[in-house]
Amino acid sequence: MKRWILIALVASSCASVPLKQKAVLGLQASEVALESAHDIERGLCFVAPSTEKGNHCTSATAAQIGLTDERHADLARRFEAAFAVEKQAAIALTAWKAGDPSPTTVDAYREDIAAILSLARQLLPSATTFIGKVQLAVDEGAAIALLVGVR
Amino acid sequence: MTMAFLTLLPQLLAAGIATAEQIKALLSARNKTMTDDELNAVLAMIVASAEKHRALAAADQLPNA
Repeated sequence: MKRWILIALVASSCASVPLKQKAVLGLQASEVALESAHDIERGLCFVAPSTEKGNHCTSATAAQIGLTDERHADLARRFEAAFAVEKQAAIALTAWKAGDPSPTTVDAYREDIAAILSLARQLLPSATTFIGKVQLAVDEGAAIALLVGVR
Repeated sequence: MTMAFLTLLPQLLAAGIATAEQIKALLSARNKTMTDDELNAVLAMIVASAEKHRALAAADQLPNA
């Protein structure tokens, strides 16, 4: 509920700025949320997430919340795909202007982060902060898609 | 809008939706028209940051290092 209030407020605050700016800043907001979600997931998986990496979770919390090695690797695959397509969407938006066809990468990004959200909800029901950040990334991703004309 | 937003700000922060810095930067940026150079700079930061996280996610699919 509060998330929707925030989005509505931010959206209402930028009614007069150009469409491309809205799309770029929306992508930035989605990027920040998705990175936060990634950091949280890695924080749940590893004892020392800033120095550890790999497909085996070392933290006791991971086992407690059902973040198995298989699930961690599955999420890593999804995150890798989402960040890769987000890069492409950012590059596509550099050349995009209002009236152009919508960049296909924006829709692909929206689909990837929706898949992460679905996975997060299934696998980590107790990790509410993680799920919230992914939801925020999805909401912003949907807003960008709408702005650039994805149907 | 601003007063309504300020009224809700404590709840947003408490809910962990955003930091004060993120909200201020977001509103400040969204209330003025940015130049193409500024927009491209934001996009370049997104590309760099996304690549950093993409590489980390790729490493998390390999045996621990």
